[in-house]
Amino acid sequence: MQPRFIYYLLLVNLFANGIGYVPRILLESRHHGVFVAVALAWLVGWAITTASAMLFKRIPNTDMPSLWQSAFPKPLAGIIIVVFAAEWLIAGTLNLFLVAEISSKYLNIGTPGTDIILLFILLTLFAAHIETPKALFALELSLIISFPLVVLALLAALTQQGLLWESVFRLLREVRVPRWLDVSAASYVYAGYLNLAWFNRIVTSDYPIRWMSIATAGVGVLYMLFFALPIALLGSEAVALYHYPWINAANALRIEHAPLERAFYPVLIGYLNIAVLNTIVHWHVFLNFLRSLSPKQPTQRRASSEKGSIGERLRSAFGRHWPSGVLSAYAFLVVPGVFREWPMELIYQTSRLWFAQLIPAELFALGLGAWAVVRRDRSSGTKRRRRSTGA
Amino acid sequence: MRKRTLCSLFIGALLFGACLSGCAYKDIDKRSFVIAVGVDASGDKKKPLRVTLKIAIPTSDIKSGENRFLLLTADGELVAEAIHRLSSMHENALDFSHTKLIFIGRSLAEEKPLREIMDWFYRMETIQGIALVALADPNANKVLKVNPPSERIPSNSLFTALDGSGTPSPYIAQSFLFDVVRRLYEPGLDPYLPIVRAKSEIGYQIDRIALFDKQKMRLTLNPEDSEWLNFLRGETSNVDFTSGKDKLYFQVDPNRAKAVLRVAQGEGGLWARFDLRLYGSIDERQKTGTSLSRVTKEIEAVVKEKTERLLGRLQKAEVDPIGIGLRYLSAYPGETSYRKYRRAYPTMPVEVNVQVTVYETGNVIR
Amino acid sequence: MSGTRKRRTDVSRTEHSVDAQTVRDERLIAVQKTLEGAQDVVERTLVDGDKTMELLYIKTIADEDKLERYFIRPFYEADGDIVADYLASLSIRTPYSTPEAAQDLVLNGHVLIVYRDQAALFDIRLALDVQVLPAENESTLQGPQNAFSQTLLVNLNLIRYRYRNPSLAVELAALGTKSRTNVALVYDRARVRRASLEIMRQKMRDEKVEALFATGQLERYFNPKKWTLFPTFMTTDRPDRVVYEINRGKIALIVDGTPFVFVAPGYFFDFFSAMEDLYHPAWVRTFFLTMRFLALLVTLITPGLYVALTAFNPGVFRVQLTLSIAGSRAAVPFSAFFEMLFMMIAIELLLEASVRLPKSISAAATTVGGLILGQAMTAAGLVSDVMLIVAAVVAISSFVVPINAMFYAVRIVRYPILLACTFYGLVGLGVALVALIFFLANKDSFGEPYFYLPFDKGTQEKGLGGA
Repeated sequence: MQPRFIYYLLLVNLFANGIGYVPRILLESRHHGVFVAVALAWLVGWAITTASAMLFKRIPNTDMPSLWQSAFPKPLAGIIIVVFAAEWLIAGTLNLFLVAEISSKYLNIGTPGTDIILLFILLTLFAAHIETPKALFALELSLIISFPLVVLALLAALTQQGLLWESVFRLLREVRVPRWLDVSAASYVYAGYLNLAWFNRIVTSDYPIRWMSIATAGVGVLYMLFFALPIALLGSEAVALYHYPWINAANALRIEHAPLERAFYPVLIGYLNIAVLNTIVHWHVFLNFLRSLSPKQPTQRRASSEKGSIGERLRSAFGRHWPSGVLSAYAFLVVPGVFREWPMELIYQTSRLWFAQLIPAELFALGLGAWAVVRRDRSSGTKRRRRSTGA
Repeated sequence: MRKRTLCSLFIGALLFGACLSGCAYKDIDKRSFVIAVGVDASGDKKKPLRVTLKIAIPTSDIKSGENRFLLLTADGELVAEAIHRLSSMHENALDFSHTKLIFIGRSLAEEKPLREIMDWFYRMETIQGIALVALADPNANKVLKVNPPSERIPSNSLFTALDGSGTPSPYIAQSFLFDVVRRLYEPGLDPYLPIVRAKSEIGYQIDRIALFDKQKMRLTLNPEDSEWLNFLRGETSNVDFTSGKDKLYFQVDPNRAKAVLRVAQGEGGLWARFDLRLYGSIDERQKTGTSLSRVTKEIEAVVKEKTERLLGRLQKAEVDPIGIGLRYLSAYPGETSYRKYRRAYPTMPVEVNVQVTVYETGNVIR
Repeated sequence: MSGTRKRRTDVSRTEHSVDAQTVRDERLIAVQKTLEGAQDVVERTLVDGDKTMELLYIKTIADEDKLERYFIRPFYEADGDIVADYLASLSIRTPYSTPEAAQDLVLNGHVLIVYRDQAALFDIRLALDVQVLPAENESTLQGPQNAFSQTLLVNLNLIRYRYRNPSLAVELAALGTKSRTNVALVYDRARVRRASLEIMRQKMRDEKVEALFATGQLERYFNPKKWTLFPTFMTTDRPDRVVYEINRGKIALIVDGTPFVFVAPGYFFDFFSAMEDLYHPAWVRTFFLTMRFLALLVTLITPGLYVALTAFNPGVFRVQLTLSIAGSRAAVPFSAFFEMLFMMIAIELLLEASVRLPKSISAAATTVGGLILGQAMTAAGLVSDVMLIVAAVVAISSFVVPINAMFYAVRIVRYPILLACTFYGLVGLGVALVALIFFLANKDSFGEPYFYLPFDKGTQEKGLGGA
C-alpha cells in the first residue's frame, strides 16, 4: 500500500500524545529548560525516525517479528517479541486511561469512568482484530473525519485575541540542561513511525529518506505549536495548574462568529477519536506481534478446524486465537480494575516511568533490527557462497 | 460466528451501560441553565459569601421576546457550599455549562483575595473558560436584577457588551475567566476587571476598570483612564478624547493606531518606553481658526500627559495590567530578574514618545 | 441440466432410421414429451413432395413471423438440398446435442427443426419488451436518459453500443434451478479483477435460487452471510453507469427480464457517486460530492447528536439555541430519545407508504403525513419544533444518497448510532462512528476490500495489499 499511511501513523501519534500525557509532564518542569528538551527530542526523534526508515527500507514487506525470527534463535526472538509487544500494549493502555478519564470528566459528566473505559475497550478490541490493510483504510477515514476538528483547534487558538506570546518567550529563553524524562517524553510524539515495525509488511517504503526527514520536521513544527499554544493561552504559570493543559486551553477558545461559540467540544471529540485510534493502532500491533509467535498454519487452517477430533480442533483454535484471548483478558480484567483503583496521579507516575525508558527501548529495538538484518544478510551470503562453491 | 458473539457482546455492554449510566442522561427540560453567578459579601461572619444564581427560564415561544429569569440566593462559607445549598431550592438540575457571567461584588473584592473568590470557578470542569468576569457595583445581586427591556435572553445584553461582540465602546475591558486566572499567576501581569454599575432597574453602565495585584483590588480607574488603559493594553484602538482648549473632539483611526512597549535593562536599572503612533480625525471642532500643526502639537501633549498620568497611577499602586513586567521577564528570564522588577516597578522611569497625525474628517476641509 | 449453451459441443448424429418420412423423429418426440403439459407447444410437419420438415416450438415465446419468413417459405420455394444447405447456413442455428439441451432452448424461444435427419435449433425468440424506457430510479439532468430494457439482448446491445471495445467479454448462462433465466456476465477482459471474476463464477455455479426474476435476489444468494445490511454490490438500470463500471474493471451481470443490472464488486464510496458527476466540471463535481458526504454524515449523526446534545451536553450550543430548544421541549412529555425515535419511525412509515402507494395518491399521503401531522404534533405539544426541523433535515439529507440499496442501509444504521448516543452521549457518538468505519472496513466485496478511499488509485489497480 502507498506510503501515505505512514503519515497517518505519524499524525495519529502526534495528536494523541501532543494533547495527552506529554504536555503535562513537560509543563511540570517548564522552568527546567523544557524548550531545550523539546528541541533535543526533535533531534532524537529525527535520528531515530531516519535510522528506522533506513532499516525498514532494507526489509521491504517484512515486519520486525519475522525479521527477528529469521535472524535469531527461536527462544531469543520470542523473548524480544514479547518484550516489545508489551511496550505497545502499555502505550495503548496508558492512552486509553487518559481518554476514558477525559471523557468522563468533561463530556459525560456523571457517567462512571469504568463504563466509558469498557465502551472504549470494546471498540478497540473489535477494531484491533481487523486485518492490517483494512485497519489502515479505516484509520485513514477516521482520521480524515477527526482531523478537521483538531485543525480547528489550532486555527481557533492562533486567531485568538490575547495570546501571551511573552510567556512562551519567557520559558523559551530559560535555557537549562533538560531532564532526561522531558527529552524522552517529548520524543514520544515522533514515535508514530515505529508502528511500521508491524505495518512495514504492507506499506511500501519506496520513498526517499529525506521525505521522512521533512515529515519529522513538519511534526516537530506542529508539535512546537501544540506545545506553545497552551502556554500562550493559559499563561506560563497557570498552565501548570491543570491536569490536562490542552483540554483547558481548548476550554479557553472562543470563535465569535461560528455556530458554536466554544471550540472546546469539537476539539475534545476530535482528540478523543484520534486518541482512540492511537490505542487501536497500538493494540493492533501488539496483537499481531503475539500472533507472529504462534507457528504458521498455512492453507490447511480451514480444513483443520473443520475436521479432526475435538482435542485437535481445540488445539488449533487455541493456536489461532490465543493472542486475542490474551488481549481480551487483559482488556477486560486488568484495564478497568486498574483504572478504577488507581488515582490519575498514579497513572501519570506510571506514564513517567514508561516515558523514561522510551528512548532506550527505541534504540534497543532499532539495534536489534539492524543486527538482525546484518545476521540475515551474512547467513544468506554464506549460503550463497556455499552454494556457489558447491557448484 | 465470532463476529456475532462480538456483536452481541457489544450490544450487551451497551444495555449494561444503559442501566449504569442512567444518571448522566438528563433531558434538557430537566436542567436549569445558570446564566450568571454573582458572589457578594453577606456581612455575616459565619457565612461571609452570598452567592446569587441567575437562572434562565426558557419560554416556549422565543419570538414573543419575553425574558424570564429566576434569581436564587444563598449564603455560605464557600462558593461551592452555597451553590450546593441552592440546588435544593430548585426543582431542576443546575447546569453551569452556560454560565457566561461571573460577578464579584465590589465590597467582597475589596476585602477578600481574588484568587480565593475565583477558585471554585476555574476548578469546575463545566464552567467555560470564556466566561466573563466583572466587578459588580454596588453588589452582584443588584446587577443581576437589572432587566433591560432590550433583552430577549436573561443577561444577554450584559455578555454582548462585555465580550465585545456588541458595542465597540472603548471603556469596556474584556476579561475572560481563563485570562483572569492566568493573570493571577503570571509574574509581571496583573488582573483587572471591568466594573458594571447598576444604574436602575433596567440600566447599567460599564466604564470603569478595577485593578488587582496578585492579592487584592488596589485601584479603580475613572472612565477616561479606563479607556486609555484599554488602548495601551492593545485591546482597543477605538479611542477618542476632547481637547478642551480648542474645543475639539479627536477620534483615533482604530486601524492605524499603535502603542509599542519596550522594556529593557539600562545602566540605571529598568526602564520602559511607550511609542505611540496615532492617526486621527477631528470629529467636532467648535472653535475654528487654529492651524492643524498647532492642533497636532496640542493633541500630542494631551496624549503624552494622559499616558504618563495613567502609568504613574499604576506604578504608584504597584499594579501592572499592561504586562510591563512580563515583557521584561520574557527578555530577561529568571527568578532574580523578577525580584528586581518588583523592586524597580514603582519608580521605574517610563518614557512616552507620541507621534500624532491629525486630519479633518472627510466632509469638511477646515 | 447444467452447462451453458457455449459449452455445448457439436455432436452430429448420422446413424438413424432411414424411413424418416413416415416415422416422426425420436429426438423431437423426446423433447415434446418433456413439454407435455404445455398447450402452447406447437408441433408441425411440413410436407412438400418428398421433402418433410418437422418443427417444434412454443407459440407464445417464438416469433411465428420469423418462422414463416425463415423456414416455411424457403421450404416450399427451394429444392431439397438447397433447403438443407440454407438451414445449415443460418446464423441463428444451434446444433442438437441432447434432449435436455434442446428442451432448454425450446423453452427459450427456439424452434427445433428436423430436416433430412438433421436436427437443429433456431433462435426465433419473440422479444416483446424491447422498448427502452427513460431512467427514473437514478435520474440525471444532463447525460444519457435511457434505462435498460427488460430484455437481455437489448441490454447487451445497449452496452456494446456504448463500449465498442474488443476486450469486452460476454459470458452467457442460465441461472435458477427452475426458471433457467438467461443471464449474461459482461466485463472488460483487460481490466477485470481476476479474483473477483473467479469468485463471481464460483457463486454463479453455487447459487441455489429456484426462480430468478430480479437482481436483488442474487444479492441475497451471493452473500456468504445471512444477515447483512450494507450492499456489497450495486444494482443499477443505467447503461452509462454499467459501462463506466465495466471500464473500471468491474463485472456486470445482466438478468433477462429485469432492467436492473448487477455490478460487482461494489465499494462503499461508489454508492455515493451519481452518474451526473462525470458530466460536470471538476469543481461542480467536487462540490456536490462533498455535499453528498456531508449529507451522509448529517443523516447518520444528527439523530444521535440531537439526543447527545440535549440530554448530555447542552453546553455545546450557544445560549440562545439551548434556551430555545429547552423552551420548545418544555411541553413535550417524552424524553429526547423517544421523541427522536418516534419522529424517525414516523418518517420511515411515511417514506414506505409513499413508495407502496400509486403515484397519484402518494403525493397526497406525503402532504397529509408530513405537513398536516407535523403541524398538529407540534401544536399539540407532542413533539418540539426543533425536533421537527431535525427530523426533516435528517430525512432530506438521507435522500441525497444516489443508490437505493445504500439509502436503505444508511437509514437503518442511524438507529444503533442513536442508541449509542442515548447511552453514552457524545462519547457514544464518537465511538459509534469509529466502530462503523471499522465495521465497514472489515467487509469484503467479491474478494476486494469494501472500503477504500476514492483517491486511492493504487488499490484500484493492484487490489488489496498490492505492494
